[in-house]
Amino acid sequence: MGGKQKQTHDDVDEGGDDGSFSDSELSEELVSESELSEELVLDDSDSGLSEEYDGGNDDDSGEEDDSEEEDDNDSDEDDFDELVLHDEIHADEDDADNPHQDDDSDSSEDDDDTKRNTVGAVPVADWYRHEDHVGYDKHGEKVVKEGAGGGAGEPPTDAIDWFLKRVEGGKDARSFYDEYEGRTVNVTPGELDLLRRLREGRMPSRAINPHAPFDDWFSRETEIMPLSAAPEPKRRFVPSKHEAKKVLKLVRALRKGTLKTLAQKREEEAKAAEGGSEPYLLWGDDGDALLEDGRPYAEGLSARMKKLSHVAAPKQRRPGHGQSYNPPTEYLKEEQEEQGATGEDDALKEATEKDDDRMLAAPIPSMRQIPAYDKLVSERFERCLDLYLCPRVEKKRINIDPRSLLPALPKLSDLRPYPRLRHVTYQRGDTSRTAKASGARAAAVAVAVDPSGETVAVGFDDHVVAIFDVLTSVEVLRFSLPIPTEDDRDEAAVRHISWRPAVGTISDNSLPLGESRAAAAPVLAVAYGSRVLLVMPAVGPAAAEAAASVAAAASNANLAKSSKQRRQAGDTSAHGPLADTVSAVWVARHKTRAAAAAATEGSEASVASWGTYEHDRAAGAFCTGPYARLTGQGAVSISLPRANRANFVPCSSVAWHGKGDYFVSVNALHNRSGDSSAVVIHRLSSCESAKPFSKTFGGLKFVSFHPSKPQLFLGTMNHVRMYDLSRRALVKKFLSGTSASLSLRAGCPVHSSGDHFLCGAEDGTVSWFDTDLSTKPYKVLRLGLSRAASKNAAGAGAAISALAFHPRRPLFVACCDDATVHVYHGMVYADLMSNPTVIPLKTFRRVHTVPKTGEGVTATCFHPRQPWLFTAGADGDVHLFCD
Amino acid sequence: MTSGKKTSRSGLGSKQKRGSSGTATQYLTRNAALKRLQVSLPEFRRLCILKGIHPREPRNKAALKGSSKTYYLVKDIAFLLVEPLLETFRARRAYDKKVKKARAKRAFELAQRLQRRKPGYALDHLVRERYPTFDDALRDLDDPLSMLALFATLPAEKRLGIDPKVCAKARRLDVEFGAYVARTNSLRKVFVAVKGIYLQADIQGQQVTWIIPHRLPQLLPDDVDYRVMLTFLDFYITLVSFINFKLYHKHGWRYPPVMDSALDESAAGVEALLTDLVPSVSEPAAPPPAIDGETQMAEDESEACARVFQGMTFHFGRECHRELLTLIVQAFGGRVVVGELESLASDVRSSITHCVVDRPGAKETLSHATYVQPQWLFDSANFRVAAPTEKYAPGAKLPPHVSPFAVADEGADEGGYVPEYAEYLQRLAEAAGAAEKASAGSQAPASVAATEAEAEDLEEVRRGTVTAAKNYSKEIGEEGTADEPARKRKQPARASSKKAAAAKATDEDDDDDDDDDVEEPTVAAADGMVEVDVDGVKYKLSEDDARARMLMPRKSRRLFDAMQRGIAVKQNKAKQLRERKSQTAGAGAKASKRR
Repeated sequence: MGGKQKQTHDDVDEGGDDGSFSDSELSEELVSESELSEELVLDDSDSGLSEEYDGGNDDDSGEEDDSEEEDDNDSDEDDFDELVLHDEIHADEDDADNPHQDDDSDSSEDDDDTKRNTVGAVPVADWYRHEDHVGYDKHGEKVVKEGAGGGAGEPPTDAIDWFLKRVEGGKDARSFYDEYEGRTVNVTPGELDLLRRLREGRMPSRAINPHAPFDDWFSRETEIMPLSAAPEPKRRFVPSKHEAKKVLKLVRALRKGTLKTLAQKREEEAKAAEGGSEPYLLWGDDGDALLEDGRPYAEGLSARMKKLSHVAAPKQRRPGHGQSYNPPTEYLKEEQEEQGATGEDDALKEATEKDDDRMLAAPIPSMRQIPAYDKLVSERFERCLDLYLCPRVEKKRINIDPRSLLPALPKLSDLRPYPRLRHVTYQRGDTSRTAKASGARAAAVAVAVDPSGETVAVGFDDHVVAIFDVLTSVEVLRFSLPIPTEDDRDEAAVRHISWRPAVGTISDNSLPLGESRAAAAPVLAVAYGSRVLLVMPAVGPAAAEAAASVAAAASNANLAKSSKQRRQAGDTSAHGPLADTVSAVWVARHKTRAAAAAATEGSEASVASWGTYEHDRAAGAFCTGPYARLTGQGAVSISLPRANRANFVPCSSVAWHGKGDYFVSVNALHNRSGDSSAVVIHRLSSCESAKPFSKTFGGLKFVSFHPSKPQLFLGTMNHVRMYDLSRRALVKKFLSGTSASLSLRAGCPVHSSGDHFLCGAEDGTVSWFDTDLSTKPYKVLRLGLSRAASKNAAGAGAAISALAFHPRRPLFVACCDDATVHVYHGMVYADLMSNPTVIPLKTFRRVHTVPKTGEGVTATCFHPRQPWLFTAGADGDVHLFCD
Repeated sequence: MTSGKKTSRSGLGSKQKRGSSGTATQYLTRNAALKRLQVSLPEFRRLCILKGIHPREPRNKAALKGSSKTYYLVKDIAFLLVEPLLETFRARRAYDKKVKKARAKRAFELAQRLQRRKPGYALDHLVRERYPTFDDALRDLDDPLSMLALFATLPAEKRLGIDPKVCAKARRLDVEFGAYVARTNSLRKVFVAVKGIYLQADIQGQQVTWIIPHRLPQLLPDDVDYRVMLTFLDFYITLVSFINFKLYHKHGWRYPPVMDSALDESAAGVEALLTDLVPSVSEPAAPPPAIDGETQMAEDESEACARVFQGMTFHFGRECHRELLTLIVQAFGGRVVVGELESLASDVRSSITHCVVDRPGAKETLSHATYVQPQWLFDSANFRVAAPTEKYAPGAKLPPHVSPFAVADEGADEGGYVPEYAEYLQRLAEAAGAAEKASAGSQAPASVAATEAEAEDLEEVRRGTVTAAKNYSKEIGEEGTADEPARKRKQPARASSKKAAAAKATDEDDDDDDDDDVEEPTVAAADGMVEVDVDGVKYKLSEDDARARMLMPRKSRRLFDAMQRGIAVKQNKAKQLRERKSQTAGAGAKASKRR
């Protein structure tokens, strides 16, 4: 059908223009094209152009087609107009001289392959503007422009013509000039329809109905005649094993938790985003932490983890009354605090106010009126900061009664007797009442009890030595010390006095019996200025005995008898001229000896010069006192070496050896530079002196003899050295317990056993040394740390001014510059294994206080047998403390 | 030269490098710790807070890098290094970055999804690690509870990162703990301070003290780093939830308890939970531990606390801090009626014995009930005795509210200062206790003879206590409680009051004896007291003690001095207070005279 149509079409349009149409190859292709053209033709039925042809077309115009045609007509027209317009524009854009295209546009389609332009994408309009062809086909033939050769199809050169042609309608209205191919192309109505349908999104071909009624072959309605008559299989009626397996798998997964439902997943995600875990039993019944599986947590801990030390954060302070919203009146804040505190209570005040937590000036009347506390968040934040930023240190707080820290001491009553009360006060007879009242009295600077314990000698700083009877407190003797020149007066203050220890009969064969006994009479050594004065005061029983023996030697029985009687009657002060005689004999004896010694040694070798003072009325009264007859006494004097007046070093102390023949003097006061002749040992029996050390000691302080051995203790700034005199060697060097220098005035009393000694320091410490134990103090006692003392030099206590051991009893005493006297029980055991016991017994305060200077006790000593303590003070008194 | 400095010789010639042993190897600075852990400073802080790691004070700072630095124990940092949270936080940080990136690209859905998938973290292992025993956890409960109570009242602020959920959780845990305290009668002390309300509870022998803010809107200061606080809160929420679980589990209560939402909305606080605190059937309670002396004492104390408001029913006015008052009343054995007075059923209204109001002009609509101010509850609870109510009548000038903490501390040792009103309440409590004992004794034969119901007897006992207290208060010069009609049976009451008086007399005698004992040294001290000076603070010692002190080794003497110094300071403080008291009393007397 198509072929036939085509043929007719060709016949009509082109005639025999193209004879190659018979080609069978092409005809196939053209079938479809002709169909299109047919439709186009059909479309154009109303245009009247193909009327004849239509009429000539014998059949085939189906009713259906016709009806559709009718439908489309209206829209077609519109489209057409559009197309025309579009083409117009196209035409305007193109060159005006497009070749006129005649009806036989289809001819180009016939020889599509052969006649097509093959020049490619070149600007044909430009390049071939002046040519009659537009390029070449695949055979190399020129593709001639339509109408170039003056053919019928020449494009209209005139735009008006072209327009008119198009307006006229008909075929030309649907034509355009293809510049590339160089010919006019006619668009058939069929092609137009195709284009229109595509644009509308409809099926391009009218032949296909996309909405054809669906023929439901397999419907749910059971047909009477089924398509398949096969019986239903069994599997349709039994549960699927496969599915069961699948379900089981899923159920197991769900149970196991590997598979989760969507809801579960959502929940988990939400929880994970929120964080945290649901609480469970983390601590077991015994309170110990458990692991998730119920095992104790501590089991799984590594040793390293267990070692981690945790310092618990301190708890916050509990609120006090002051923080209450309605505090008691005493906890209300005052507007202005009074500033009337004294200086010394500042520390206490500060400490008291440190944790004062008063907050309100007036109570809040009711609870609803409490305002918001604006620092609550800040305070909590600060606590947080404290918790994670503050370094923590573990500090142990003990909550005990402070008394439980005190060491248990034996009862004081078990340690008696010891000096507990002040019994007697000794005062110089020549002190006037006014002087007493004004306090301008000479200070007592030295005190010593004689070996018999019946008299006590006191040295005053106005060059006077007085001797009192211990029991009656009567002044039995007083003498001024001989001052060689008045210039020496200031320097010649008494520093120290010391009785010679009790000696038996001196076994000196050179002496007659009476005289040797007289030589055993008590001798008092007085250190003053740069000299030591030895006096035999002829008081006391020993002196009386000596006098008696001298008298016996002189066969003066009456005198002796009376003397003995007197002694028995307790009148130790009555000596009579015989005692004076003893003294005079003793002085005379030493005078000759000293002269002899000086003669043998030579003046240049002698360390100290020995001499005597005899009673010399012309020189003035050497001795004064209530008893005029005592004025006839003399004394042995030893002048110690002194460099010159500028470098004057007074003799600071005298210490006797236990046997009473040797004594040592120290020139140590203010001796910082050191002088080898500062320590001199004297022998009384031979009136000789010797320098034991060639070495100089810086800061020499004091020297003491060992009570029995030939040993010497020598104190410097911070050390005490022990020398063996017989071997001439240093035995030990003891280190003082403090950094402060040792006290010169306190000296170093040695215990009667010889193994222990004391020394005091300027900072108020007393060190007890055990020579066998260590070179460091066995015990350091800090005294003089009272308030007044600690105010001076950087917290150091008051210096130790005097120390003494009791010769027989376990007692020792330490006196401080703050007018305190500390009495201790100091028991030394013969057993080497047990350490000495030191127990404080009694402290006397404000003893001998001098109001202006604040000085107190200057010297102290014990009674040789009784537990009696003598103290000499700056107020010029001497006190006796008894049990 | 330099090598000589860096090395030191130890032992025989073996050269040792400086910083290779001893203190130098035990501590490291914070920066070194950061480097070792490879974390940023905020991250490190978070870890430290959660893990409970804090700086240490090295003994010998000279051996370290400087004295002004913060040092951590090397062991602690090594401990941090193995912390699984370190890795979790890294993962979270990675997610944060991803979310940020997605947001920047405006891929909000992706950001949301990433946010959802961000790994969470749990802190239960840290609770276990830090508190290996339950007592450890209880010991450290002060700060967590205070923090929870604070955040329970703080407003949720997105700008500061305070999540409403966190606040709600904090409040919930707070109420749960409060309910436990109330149900077990373990609250011991209440103190209304300016800063907030201090509460102290005895949980298994541990004294837990925490502070809750006043019920007022809190300002959020800007100079506070809320991230730090929220990190703490994060851990505290976990800790307290586990503690609550353990406490509830011990009593066989279910956890979490179900809150009565109606009660919760009416600000009944713990009341909303208390109904749920019954032993669950399915889960038997843990077997009761063997009772030793300490737990027995704690139980006695609990019983005493439960008796304070026994038989009383309270109603609180709207203006009161209802949650707090409910907690206190429940913890001390009373009952609480929730709701407005007008809307209550008549039988419920008639059961109310006490109305707590905090307004001066409140109408006393219930004629049979006693109207008091809230402070009556606190003072009564603290001293375990019903304080005289007329002192606390609405609109009356309240007696001072004393700190039970200070009373306990100061009263424990001699020389401390106890305010007058506290002493009065203490004596009142003693008298009440004595009266109760006495009436319990006299009741035994009476109950044999009497045929009345036991309930009446019990009431009698109570009345006896009250009258005894009243008599006592008359004796000590205070007015008795309000006009109570004379009842028929006064015999036991009288007997009890007599006995109470006798008991009091003996007590006073004993006190006198004690005082004599104490004062004896001071009498002797007139001549023999020794004054010792410690850093400017003086204290007095008897002669014997001064002797013993001299023999003390230096170390223990310093300790002794420090203790004595503390005592001296305390005494001085008490002295100051007494002076101030006498001054104000004098001023008050003058003022009253002028009137």
